Amino acid sequence: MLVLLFYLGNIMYTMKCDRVREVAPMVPLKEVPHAPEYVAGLFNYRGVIVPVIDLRCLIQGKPCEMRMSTRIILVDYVKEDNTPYILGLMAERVTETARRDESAFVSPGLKLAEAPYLGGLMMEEKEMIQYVDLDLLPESFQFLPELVNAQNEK
Amino acid sequence: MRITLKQNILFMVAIITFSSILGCILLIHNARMIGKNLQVETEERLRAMVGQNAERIETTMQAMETNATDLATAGETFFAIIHETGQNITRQIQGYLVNNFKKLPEAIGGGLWYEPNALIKGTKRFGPYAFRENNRVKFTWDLNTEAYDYLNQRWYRMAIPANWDRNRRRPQNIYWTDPYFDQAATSALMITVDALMYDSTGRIIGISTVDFSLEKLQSMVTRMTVTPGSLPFAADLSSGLLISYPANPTKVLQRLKSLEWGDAISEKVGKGTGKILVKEITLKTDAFSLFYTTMKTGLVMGILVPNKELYARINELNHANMVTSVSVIVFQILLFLAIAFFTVRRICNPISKLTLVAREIAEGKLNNAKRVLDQLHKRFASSRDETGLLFSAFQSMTEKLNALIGQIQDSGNQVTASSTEIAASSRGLEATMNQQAASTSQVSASSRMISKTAENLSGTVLEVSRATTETAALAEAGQAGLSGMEASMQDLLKGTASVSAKLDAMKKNALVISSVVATITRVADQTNLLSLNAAIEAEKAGEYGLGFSVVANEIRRLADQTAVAALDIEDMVGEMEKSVSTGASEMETFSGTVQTTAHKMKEIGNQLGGIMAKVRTLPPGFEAVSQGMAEQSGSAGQISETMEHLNAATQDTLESLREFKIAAEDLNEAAFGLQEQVSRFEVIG
Repeated sequence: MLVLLFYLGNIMYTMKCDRVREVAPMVPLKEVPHAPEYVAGLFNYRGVIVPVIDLRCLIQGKPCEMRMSTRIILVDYVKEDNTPYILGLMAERVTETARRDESAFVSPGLKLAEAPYLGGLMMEEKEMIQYVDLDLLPESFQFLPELVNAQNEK
Repeated sequence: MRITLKQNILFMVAIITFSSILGCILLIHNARMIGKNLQVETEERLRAMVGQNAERIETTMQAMETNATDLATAGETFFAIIHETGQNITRQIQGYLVNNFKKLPEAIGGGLWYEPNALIKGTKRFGPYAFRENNRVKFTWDLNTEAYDYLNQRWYRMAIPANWDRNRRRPQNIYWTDPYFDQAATSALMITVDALMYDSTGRIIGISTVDFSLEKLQSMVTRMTVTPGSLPFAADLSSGLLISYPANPTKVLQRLKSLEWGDAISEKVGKGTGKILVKEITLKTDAFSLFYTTMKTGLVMGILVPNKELYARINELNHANMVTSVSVIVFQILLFLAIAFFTVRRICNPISKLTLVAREIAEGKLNNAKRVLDQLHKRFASSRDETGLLFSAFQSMTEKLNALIGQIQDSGNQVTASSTEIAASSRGLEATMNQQAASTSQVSASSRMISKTAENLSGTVLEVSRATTETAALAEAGQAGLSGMEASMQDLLKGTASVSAKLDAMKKNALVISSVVATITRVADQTNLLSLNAAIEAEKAGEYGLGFSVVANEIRRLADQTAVAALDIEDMVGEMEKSVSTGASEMETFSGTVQTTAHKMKEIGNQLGGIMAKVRTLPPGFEAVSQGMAEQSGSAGQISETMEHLNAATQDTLESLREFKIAAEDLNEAAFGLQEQVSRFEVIG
C-alpha cells in the first residue's frame, strides 16, 4: 500500500494514495466569506473549482504555515448520486510517499465523535504517524457537497 | 469585730420588740387560762342545775313515798277498826283521803285499795279515790266499778301480783309503777306509788296509792333548756321509758334506747345514784356533753348540750382576745420598725455619710467630698437637729479648707512659674554667652587661618608664576606634534574608503549567489512534486507502474539531495553576506571616528596656540599679588590677638552665670516640692 506522508506542525500524518488524484503546489486561493475557519478557500484545478480544507486548521485549530513544501492534496470523491467531485486538502511538508502494510497501523483505543477520520497509529523511528482516513473525512463537514454543487451550477 | 451604731440601734430595737411580743404572748396565755376556767365553771353550773333539779324531784318523790306509807298505815288502821268494831267508817275514810291530798299539792290523786273480801265480807272491791281537779280535791268511787276492775290494773298488780301468796310479805314495802297515762280520772301522765297494807297477822290486805303527776317534772325538765340546741330529758330507768323530752314530745313513753344517744345512759342503771355524771358524746360530727344523774327512785334526769353552744361565748371571747393580741403585736412590730427606720435614717445614715466625707478630706479629695456634701444637701440642710448642724459644720469646713488649699496651690504655682522663668532666662543667657565665646573663638581661629592662608597663597602665587612659564614652553612643543598626527589621519581616511568600496562589491556578488540558490531550490521542489505525483500515478497504474515508481523515487531522492546542497550554499552565502555587511558597517564607523579625531586634533592645536599667547602675559601680575598677601597676613595676626583677650572675659562671665543657674534650680526644686505637697488636695472646680 502506498501512503503519502505529510506534516501538520511537528506531527507526521499519513493517508492512503488510492484516492489521491494529484499533489498541487500552493497558489493563492479565492477566499470564501462566512465559511468556517478551516475552509482555506477555492482552488482552480484545471478549470474545476475545488474547495480547499486547511487540514492543520481542522485538526489542530491553527492554519498551515506558508512554505514551499506546503501543498494541496487533491482527492477524488463520489457523491451519493454518483457524481464525482474533488476536494483539496492543504498540508505541510508534503514531500514523500512510502510503502506500508495496512496492519502496521494500531488503533489508539479511542474514537472521537468529532474527529472520526483520525485512524490508527504507526510507530516509526520513535515517531508516531497518525493515519487520516479519507473515506470518513467528508462526514466532518457535511456542508461540502452542497457547497460544491452550488459552485458547479454557477 | 466592729459593731456599727446602726447595728447597735437595730439590736436594741429588736430586744425591745422581742420582750413586748413575749409580754403579749403571756397575756394571750392568761386569757386562754381564764377561758378554760370559765369552761369549767359552766360545766359546774350545769352539774349544779341537774343536781338541784334531781334533788327537788327526789324530795318530792320521797314525800310521795312517805305519804303513801302514811296512807297505808291509815288504811291498816281503818281495817282494824272495821274488823274489831264492825262500824261503817266509809265517810271518815272519805274525809281522811280528801284532807290528806289537800295537804299534798304535788300529788294529783290517790286512794286505798283492798283485796277482795278483805275489809268487808261479801264486798269484792273497796277502792275510795280522791283526786285534784281545778285546784280542788274531789272524792269519787268511779274507780271502784266492775268495768275498771282495779284489781287487774297494772299499778295494782305491780304491788300484789295475782299469784302471790297473800300470807307472805312482799320484798319491798313500796313499789313505783311505770309511767302511764291515767285513763280514768285525770288522763295525765303519771306514776303511781304503791304502799302495801298488812293486817296484824302479816297478811296482805291491800295497797294505798299516791298518783304523782309527771307534768311538774316535765316543766322542770323543759326549764332546764339552757341553750337553744340543748336536749334536757328525764326517763324511768327500771322500765327504760322516756318521761320527758321537750325536744321531741312524741318520744315520751317510748324507750330511752330508741334515742341515738340512749345507750350511753342505760349502761349506768343502779350505779352511782346521786352523783352527777358527765360524758362526751359525738353525734353526727358535733361534740355534745351529757350531764345526768340517777335517783334512788329509778329516775334518770339530765341534759345533752352541744359543746359548740356550751362554749360559744368562751370561744368568742378567746377569738376576740386572740385578734386583739395579734393586732397589738403587729402594731408594736410596725411601731418599732418605724422607730428603727427613723433613728437609722436620722442619725446613722448622716453619720456614716459624713464619715465618708471626712475620709475623702483626709485623703485630700476635696472635690469628691464637696460632691457628696452637695448630694446630701437636700436631705440634711433643712433639719435643725444635731445632724443638720454637723452637716453644715462639715460643709463650711470643706469650703474653707478648699479655699485655703486653693490659695496655697496658686502661690506655689506662681513661685514655681517664677523660678522656672528665672532658670529659663539664666539658661538662655548662658547659651548666649556660650555662643559669644564660641563666636570669638571662631573669629580668632578664622583670623589665624586667614593669616596662614595669606602666607601660603603668597608662596603658591610665586610657584604658579613659575609653572606658567614652563607650560607655555610645553604647549609650543605639543602644537608641533599635533600637526604631524593630523597628516597621518588624512592618509588613514583614504585607506578606509577603498576597503569600503571592496566590501560593497562582495555584497552584490553574494546577492547574485543567493538568487541562483533560490532557483536551484525551486527546481528541486518542483522535481520533488513531480516525483510525488509520478509515484502516485505509478501506484494507480498497478504492476505496470512499478518500474516507473522506482524511477520516480530516485528522482525524488536526487531532488532532495539537490535541495540539501542548495540549502548548504544558501547558509554559507548567508553567513558571508552577514560578515560582509558587519565589516562594511564597522568600516563606516571607523572612518567616522578617524574623521572626528582629525577634526579634534585641529581644534586642540588651535586652543594650544591661544593658551600660549595668554600664558605669556601672566607672570608680571603674580608678583604684585604675592606682595599684597604678605601684608594681609600681618594684619590678620593682630586681629587674632585682640580676640584672645575678648574670649577670656567671656569665660569669666560664663562662670558667674553657671553659679546663678544653680541657685535658680534650687529655688525651682523647693517650689516644686511645695506644689507637690499641695497638689495632693484635689481642689473643687
